[in-house]
Amino acid sequence: MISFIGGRLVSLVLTTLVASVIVFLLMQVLPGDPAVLMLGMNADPDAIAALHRQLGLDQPIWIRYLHWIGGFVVGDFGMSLTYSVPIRDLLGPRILVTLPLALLSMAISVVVAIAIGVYAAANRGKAGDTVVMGIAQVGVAIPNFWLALLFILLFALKLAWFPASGFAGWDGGIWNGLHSLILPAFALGLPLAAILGRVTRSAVIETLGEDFIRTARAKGLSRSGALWTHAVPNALIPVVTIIGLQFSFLLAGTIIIENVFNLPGIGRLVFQAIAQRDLVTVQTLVTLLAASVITINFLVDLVYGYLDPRLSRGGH
Amino acid sequence: MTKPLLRMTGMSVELTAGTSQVDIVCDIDLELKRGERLGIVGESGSGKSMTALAVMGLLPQRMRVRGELSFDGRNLAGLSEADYCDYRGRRMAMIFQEPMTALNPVKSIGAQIAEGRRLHLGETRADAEKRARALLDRVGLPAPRFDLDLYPHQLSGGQRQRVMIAMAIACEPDLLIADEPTTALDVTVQAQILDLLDELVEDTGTALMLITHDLGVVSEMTDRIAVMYAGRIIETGRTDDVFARMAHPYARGLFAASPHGAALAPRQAGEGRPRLNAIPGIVPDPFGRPPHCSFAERCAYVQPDCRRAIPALDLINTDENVEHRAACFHPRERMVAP
Repeated sequence: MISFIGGRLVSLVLTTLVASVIVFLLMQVLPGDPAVLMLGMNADPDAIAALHRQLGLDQPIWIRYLHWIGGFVVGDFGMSLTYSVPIRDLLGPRILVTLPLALLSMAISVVVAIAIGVYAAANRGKAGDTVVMGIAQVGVAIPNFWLALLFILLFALKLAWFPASGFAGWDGGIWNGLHSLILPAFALGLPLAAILGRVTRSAVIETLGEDFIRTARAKGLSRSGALWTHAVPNALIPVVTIIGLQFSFLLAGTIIIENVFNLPGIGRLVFQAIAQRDLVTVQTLVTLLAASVITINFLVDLVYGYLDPRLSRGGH
Repeated sequence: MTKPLLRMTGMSVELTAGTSQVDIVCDIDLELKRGERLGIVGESGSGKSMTALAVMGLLPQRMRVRGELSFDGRNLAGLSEADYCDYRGRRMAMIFQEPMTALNPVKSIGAQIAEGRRLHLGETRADAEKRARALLDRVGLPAPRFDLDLYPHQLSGGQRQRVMIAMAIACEPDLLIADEPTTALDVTVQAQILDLLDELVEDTGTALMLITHDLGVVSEMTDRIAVMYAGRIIETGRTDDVFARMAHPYARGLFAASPHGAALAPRQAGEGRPRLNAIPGIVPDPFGRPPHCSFAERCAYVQPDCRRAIPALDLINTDENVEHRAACFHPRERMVAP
């Protein structure tokens, strides 16, 4: 188990480094000179050259990469070009919006998906299965921003249960902050739940056909007993794989959803930084997002080891 | 005579496929007393496994039992699903053919053995696991080499089958059904598993229903046998009597086609081992069974009247109060084995 985790950790670090190189190079080939953007098209060439020196843009590319990644490792991400404040200061409060939003969406997606997937599998071919999977099929096709608008119309404007946009902050207590995240989290999580639910259904159906389910029934377990204690734990392995893959969709989704709900999160910061050609901020944020996706996949690998003893415990 | 533990009278298993229905298993009359050992023999597709699953109430969804099927005086067909669950694993238990897939890969063997006792006897986890430890010792998997927290993939096929057996006997059932328990195992391991089963049945006094296509296994393990063909019992009686006489040509064919049977057959001086005689043709598929003796197409002794009706399971002989019956219009007379 230790060597399993060690190997995964090494690959986690390497993958993150490769991702950072790719992101960095992409930013370099993007058209547009940050100094020109900051000073305007008609700026004095000397002023531009001075700003180049100040930003370190006159140095060779590999020096600039090492400088940036060196700071990245110790948590010094550099200065935002547009806000002229350390990027770290921009991140702090925004992570407190995006991280809870992502976790809440993930939780909604997993809980809903397992509920509908297991229900549909247990009632395979019956009316309940058809209805639930029909709804899930529609859910797969619905884009999250459209669902977000529907939610705003219904739950914010018509019923006034939740705020239509903005974030109340965590200062007024957990519920205060959570309250403004519930609609965005459902808008983000439900389309993912639809996909994950379909995966869960087919995984559970597959395990229900296994011999060990018959063994469990022969032991005296009821149909639902065998379903929950024998079929579902086996079916979770493919489901967890998809959860890991969906996490990157989730982060991409936060960029859209945070804009729809006007939430001051990482996604919105990325969006603004791109619009303003704040390249240092963009490359830092994208690398951080990539690192979090890689970390989640590392955690998924750990969960595998826990779910499937064949991976974590060798044979004799 | 004591009351039978298991009784099937005119029991059939009906399969519904689309709009048509067909009997996978037809008109089975069988009884099994406490402590008795019954062998059910037949080719693949003869309905022997379905008969066992019918007893366990674990038939696939589109199949249904018709006729009488009672266990310890209670009609199993009328049992609610919840009551049936109380029987399964507690009063009747089953050992399956494939030890590689019949155990849950993500649960420890200790948890899988303890599960039945916690479910049926309401034991705590600690008590049930203590008992599981004793059961593992009993089936020849001693500590510390075979800990309760091992997982199935860490065991060999034979060891997994021992775990299956430990699971099956965990609640000391009255009836143990073993469906081809050794078919998937190496020959050397087969004998060990059979010895273990033999010993456990002897010690616990459970009734055994042993399903196999291996005539060698039934001849050593059982008191009585029923030979099945195309969903029907075609010969039944004391194991010794059936082996001595083999009144039904199919039983004879099965015997001649088995290495065990060929080994028992008297060898002529100067001749090598006789070739195994394969039975020509195939078992008719359940949807195309003829309205007459279903073995007629493959039978070497077929007569015109064989194609007129389905032969009844007629009495041939009675030995030690056990009837020897065969479903053949022209039962063979000559003894087979010396």
